[in-house]
Amino acid sequence: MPVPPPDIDDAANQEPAPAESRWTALAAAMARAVRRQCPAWLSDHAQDIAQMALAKVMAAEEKREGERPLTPFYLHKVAHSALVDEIRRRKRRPEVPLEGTSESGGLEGRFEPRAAGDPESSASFRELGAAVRDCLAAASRERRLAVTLYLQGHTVPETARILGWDNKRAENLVYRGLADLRQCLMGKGHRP
Amino acid sequence: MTSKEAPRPAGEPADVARLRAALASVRGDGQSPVDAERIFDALHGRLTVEERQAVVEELLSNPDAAEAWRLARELAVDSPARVTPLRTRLRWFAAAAVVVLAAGAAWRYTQPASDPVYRGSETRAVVSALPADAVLPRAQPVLRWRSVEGARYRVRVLTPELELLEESAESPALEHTVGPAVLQRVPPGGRILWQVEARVPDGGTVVSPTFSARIE
Repeated sequence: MPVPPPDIDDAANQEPAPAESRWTALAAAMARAVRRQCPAWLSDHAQDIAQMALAKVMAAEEKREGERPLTPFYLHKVAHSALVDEIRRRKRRPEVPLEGTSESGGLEGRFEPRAAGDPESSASFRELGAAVRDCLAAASRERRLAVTLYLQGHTVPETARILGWDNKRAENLVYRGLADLRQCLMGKGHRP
Repeated sequence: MTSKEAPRPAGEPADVARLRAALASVRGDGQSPVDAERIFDALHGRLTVEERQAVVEELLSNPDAAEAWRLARELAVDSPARVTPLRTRLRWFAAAAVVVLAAGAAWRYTQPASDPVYRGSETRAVVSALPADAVLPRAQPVLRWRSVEGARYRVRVLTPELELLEESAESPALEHTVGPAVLQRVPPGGRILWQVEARVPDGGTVVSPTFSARIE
């Protein structure tokens, strides 16, 4: 399980403080939270992302009656969420040519991670991915959960921790789930 | 990524990397609702077991959620202030290895079918000839590695965010010069990841660990 963020400044919760300075402190804390998680290629936009994250916090504050403590973990989580949203948004942008650099010299356009190969092969690969989904959807729930996490890149111990199982159980479910998956894929005409 | 990332099991079937990459290749429409905060909570153990399992269920039905989950893992790895430098580095490399293996699997999918290979059976290894985290002069950014007898090599260069920047043609050379298009995308002092795949005379392949270097 990932280690909780331990040391984001708790400036937003310093007391006593007038509302304005509280938000100023919150803005600074959020900027730090974003910078600590922001990939290098996105660092030029960290301030903008921090502003988006701050807007989320403010919107959440307005919905609540009374103030909720803005814990370091909460700020880290909101910063993380804003970063994920921004990365996903950028990944869905149309590709731009390599020459399309920003004023700061960095590339504005990012490219989907993709394997080399012709489009037909890529399409076949996506077909395999879709078949994996279909096969897992038809599997028993526990094997589906185990193999889904395992294929997300988690190890067996991580899979066990996230799903609340012991390692042995997770290992068995991953092993049997993968065996089922291979058989299912072959039945669909795919080579696992 | 977790704080105690274990190395991949030696006996992990090779097809797992390909299955991972295939599953990751399924793209959502970008319109499905994704609760990144809930995914964050699930990944960090802040939800009940039942809630975490419900989030994992969604990963299969919602590719956008699966993408957000993968990003959450990668961003967790990229939080240098959160752990000691050594642990950060280990986690960073572990995450990189996962995705590079997935990218490698996608690459290999275009190759002819062959019998399954188990990682534990491979005794040859591709070793970097550069010091760890080497700084490469921008004017001559050359990656080098040790020879595997009779092998021909391909090199992949990636960003720390695991985007594939460059993939070389197969060659017997024991070095690869990072191309100008890649340099254009790497800021001064920026880091790249690189990996070598050696095709050996018996038709097998040996994939190196993921190495790291900086561009001056």
